[in-house]
Amino acid sequence: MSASVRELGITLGEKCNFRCRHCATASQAPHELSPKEIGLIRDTIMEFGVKAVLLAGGEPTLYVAKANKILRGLPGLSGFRVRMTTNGHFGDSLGKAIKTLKSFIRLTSVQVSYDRYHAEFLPINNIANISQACKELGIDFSVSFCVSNPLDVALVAELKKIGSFRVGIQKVLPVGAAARNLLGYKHPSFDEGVLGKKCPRIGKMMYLGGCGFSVCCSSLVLGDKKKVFSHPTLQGHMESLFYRLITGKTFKGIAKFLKVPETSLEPIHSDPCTLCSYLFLGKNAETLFT
Amino acid sequence: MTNTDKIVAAFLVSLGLFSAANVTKYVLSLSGNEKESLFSVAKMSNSNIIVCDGSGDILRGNNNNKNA
Repeated sequence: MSASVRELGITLGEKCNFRCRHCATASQAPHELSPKEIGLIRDTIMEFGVKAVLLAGGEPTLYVAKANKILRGLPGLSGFRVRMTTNGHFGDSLGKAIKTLKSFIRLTSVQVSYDRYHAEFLPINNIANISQACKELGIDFSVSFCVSNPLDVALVAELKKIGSFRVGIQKVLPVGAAARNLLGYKHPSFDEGVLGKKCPRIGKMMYLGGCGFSVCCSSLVLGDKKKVFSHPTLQGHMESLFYRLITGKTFKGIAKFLKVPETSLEPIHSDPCTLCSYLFLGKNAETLFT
Repeated sequence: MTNTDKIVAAFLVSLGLFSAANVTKYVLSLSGNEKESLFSVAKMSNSNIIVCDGSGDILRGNNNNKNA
């Protein structure tokens, strides 16, 4: 098989020790990877020559054993990029942060999620401890920061007081708890520029526990009650009509293919992920994706 | 627009939070304190504040700043 997957993301399980009000995965049924799924993921990594993995959840540090079962013994592991997104709960001391990070058999990059929602559970000092732990262990460190409105960005100034690491700004998608709590980013008007864009995850794949493989890690698969946009095998997903559309067309082309009028688009559809789920979960797409 | 307004507007557009077409109206609607709080983040030198896509993956930004 050709190595056409730049990174495979893996949701290790849905357990999390925070209850953030904007969590996209809060509504997902509890699931953690079965031994069969772990075997499938390992086989897929080797078959497709994947050299980069993203460990996600839930909270991935609650599933260290599963992460290590996936990674242990993979050919060329010392050359793998292994990223993890985490809520940073383990950073209440430098020692604990180092111990937790070292419990993974390989980590090259850690991204802590921190914003006004995570701040309800996470002392900012945890960020400093994890940043320092990553520095000592030679692990790349950054913070992912979600915003529901532009003024949320002002909190970044507090982060910058504790370190000069990268902070990635991400708009809250109206999915899961964020949808229930009306915390999705509010665009002032529909941004037509989104129509000229393609899915930002082309080249990357996700394994969602209990669902399967998908290029999507976000709004579409999380709202996909019929599980038609994820597939049991990676090859099966890459042969699907959905995958061919999402990689071959801009959103304008997809809207045209699915006969969704552009006049129906609203400000909320200004984000690629929200637009994508609107197009593929809409009535026009039902007959094609069953 | 004042220079502060322009800097805040450019900053918000660079983060992908607004398009160039609708940022002006938003910035002019901000209070003095709100503008100042965004300006203080915008003017941070070597700020390494970058855009992520919907999945949290970094789309663009400064050079990789591994803590070394």
